[in-house]
Amino acid sequence: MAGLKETLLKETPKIKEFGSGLTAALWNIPGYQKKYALLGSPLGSIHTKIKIHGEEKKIPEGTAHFLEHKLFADKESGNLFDYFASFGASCNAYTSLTGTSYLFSTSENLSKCLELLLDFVQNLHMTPTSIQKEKKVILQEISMYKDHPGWQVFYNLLQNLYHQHPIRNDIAGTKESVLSIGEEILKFCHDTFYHPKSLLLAVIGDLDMEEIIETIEKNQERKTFLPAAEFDFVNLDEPQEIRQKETRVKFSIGQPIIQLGFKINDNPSGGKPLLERDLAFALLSDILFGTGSPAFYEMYDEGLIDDGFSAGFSGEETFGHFILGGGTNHPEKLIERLLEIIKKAKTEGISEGDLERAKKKIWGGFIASLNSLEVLAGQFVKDYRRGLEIVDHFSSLEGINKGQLEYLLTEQLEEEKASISIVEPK
Amino acid sequence: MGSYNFTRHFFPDRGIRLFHLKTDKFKTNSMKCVIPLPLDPGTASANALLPFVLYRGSVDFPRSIDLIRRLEDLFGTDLSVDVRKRGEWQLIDFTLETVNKNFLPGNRDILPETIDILSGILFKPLLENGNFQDTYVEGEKRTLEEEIITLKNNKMEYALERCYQEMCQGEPFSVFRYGDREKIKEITSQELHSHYEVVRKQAPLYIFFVGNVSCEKLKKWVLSSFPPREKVTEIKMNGIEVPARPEKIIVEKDAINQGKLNIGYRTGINRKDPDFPALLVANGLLGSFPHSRLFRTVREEHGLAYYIFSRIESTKGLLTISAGIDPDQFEETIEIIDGEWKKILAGEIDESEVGFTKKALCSQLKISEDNPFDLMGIEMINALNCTGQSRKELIDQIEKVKTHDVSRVLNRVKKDTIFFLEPEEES
Repeated sequence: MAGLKETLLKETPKIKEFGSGLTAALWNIPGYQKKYALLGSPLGSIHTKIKIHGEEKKIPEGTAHFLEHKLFADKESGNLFDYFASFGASCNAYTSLTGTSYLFSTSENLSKCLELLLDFVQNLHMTPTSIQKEKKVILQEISMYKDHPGWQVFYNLLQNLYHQHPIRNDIAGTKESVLSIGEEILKFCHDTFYHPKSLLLAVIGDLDMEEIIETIEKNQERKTFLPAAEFDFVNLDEPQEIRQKETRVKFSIGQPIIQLGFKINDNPSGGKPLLERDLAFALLSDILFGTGSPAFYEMYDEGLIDDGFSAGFSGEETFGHFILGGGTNHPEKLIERLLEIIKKAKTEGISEGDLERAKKKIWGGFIASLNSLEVLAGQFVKDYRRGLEIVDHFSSLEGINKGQLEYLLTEQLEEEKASISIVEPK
Repeated sequence: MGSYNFTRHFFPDRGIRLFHLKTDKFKTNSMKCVIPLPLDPGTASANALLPFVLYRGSVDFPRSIDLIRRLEDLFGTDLSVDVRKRGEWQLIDFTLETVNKNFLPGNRDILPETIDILSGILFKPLLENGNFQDTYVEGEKRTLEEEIITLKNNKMEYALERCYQEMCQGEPFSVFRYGDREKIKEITSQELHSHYEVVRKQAPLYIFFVGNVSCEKLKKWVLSSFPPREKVTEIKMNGIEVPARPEKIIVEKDAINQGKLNIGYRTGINRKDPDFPALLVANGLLGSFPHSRLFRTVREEHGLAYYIFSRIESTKGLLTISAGIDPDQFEETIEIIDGEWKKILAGEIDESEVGFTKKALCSQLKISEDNPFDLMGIEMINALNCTGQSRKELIDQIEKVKTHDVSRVLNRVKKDTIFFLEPEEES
């Protein structure tokens, strides 16, 4: 696979730090119409406790998401969507487990859009009325997700796996936590996690580098910022054991949905080990449960699963879980079978041939995903915060051996760390 | 914008229309093979079942696992199948995406092999005593039935589908893209095979390609992979009549937290209509962007909904507004929507809104050339609407739309059916 690095590296981002402390990655990709920018804050939904000025401070669940809504619905300076629309751009924002992202895409007026993005994210305006109104919208959002049986089955499972890690709750928080959020905490979070030193800007597309650098520089010079405060996210003490073995709820649906989840306690620190764990789990799940595994079509032909069946891992430094499942008419039988497949694989081990094939598949899938500027930018931000580059994905993938997969299989997928969540028709 | 236009090629002896676009912009080569079939309650279920059964076993790959493992070995080549509905067409879609040879060891070109695999799935099915394998047919029948049952799991999609059903009762458009559960149950492998023979001989094949391969090479590969066919039929345009009748309100109860409101309108406008660009602007101004009227009033001003948007179905000539609301606010929401509609009809439109919307629409069209599947999707819809309009031409027409065109075109649009999926009780 030599030479690939050069082909991919034809396009690499230029990293620049500005006077305000803001870091920007400018990535020139000729030939694209779209120009895409993403401004990320490190405050995510799982950050509910931090250490600052030597003291610990609690952040209510859903605060990161609330702040995202609040910055977006900034009425003091007019409707943000209108401003972007007037430049022919569309904007959006989302909160994830480990960060909040504000983004726009446009085919023209890139500099004006960049200024707008930096201005609205770096300025927080609010009034008690505007906070009250935003609560109404967020409660509607929470209510909308509650009508998704797929969402219910997933969150019920996370509630089973975790005792107190905030991942067990919706990114938007709970009704109670949202109602408890007020002006003081929003301002505190904005001062701390939206300081230029904490923000990361990625701009990607067919770019005029000089113009962009000048725009950002001037924009940042115009503003004054408080001194940056050092902070650390504090991990809650999450026990290794799962909280509950099983949850069943009734829902107005046509077919039961199940998820079987394993709590993974061996959480590495550092970018490379985290990436390697992600990749090893992706390979393992493909080999055991992918459409090319012997198990998939056996279960399919027996009517245990349909093509909505999936298996996958999610993890960071403070948590990890491997979840599999989907719609089924035979919940008990399916769960039993999934556990059997894992048990059998533990004794038989992983074959080299399967590993090589799974690697090729992941390689191709990753390259295909890089057609999209959004994926490139999102991947860059995630990698940068982990201290990684795009090419690390390829070298890490090549380096993974079957011993690593077998370790995860035998040491981490433990039956006593497994829980099930079932949503049944009413 | 670049000249991202497809070249079009017709091969009558193969029943193939080939749409080719060469570019080195992407890291993959993408292909879509579409079989458009008239949407009809009598054949919809068999049409929907067909591609999934073909995918399960061919002469070259008798078992799915053989096919999937081969595709994985070809660097995770994506070969997938689905059935969609566009206007009164049921589209059998085969999608192929392979990594460009520049990103593969030894710069090996895997495209010809994957085109061959695709053709084999379509034209060389695995047969048992002259019929499809019973186990595959029964397995796929079950999956398809489940797909239909589980439509109810996605409340937003379910409510929209129900709105279409009520609105277009008796018209082919009311048929679900996967057909009907009872009809699927009854299909035998023999019947499905006879149906396949008709489709194999007569159905036109539309092949779209975006990638770094010359037209000559692609033609050669396609023609050497796909067999000759003689009696292929041509597609005709959909009817888009607007029936004269009073508005309907249908309320259905379900155990949900949030009410799902859908309002269906008839536009009588498809992509061939000279008013189509004005309709795009009107729909954009009304509800398809975050800067649109509905989002601004219903969500931002009144905080009544988390989601509210409008969209058009450009082949059948429909417009729908969808919103997730509290059931107590049903009347208030409808009132606000109707109020905004009336304002637009009366010409109470800000020049800037029209400007923003036109910019956003043109930007969307320009940006579509950054995604191979968007490019192929637009080309396909144009083919169904029997128009060869380029994206550049559409952009030019959108730019010419005036504020009064927006009021005028919306005047052609008639409210037809309100469908509300209502929570059973307060939760």
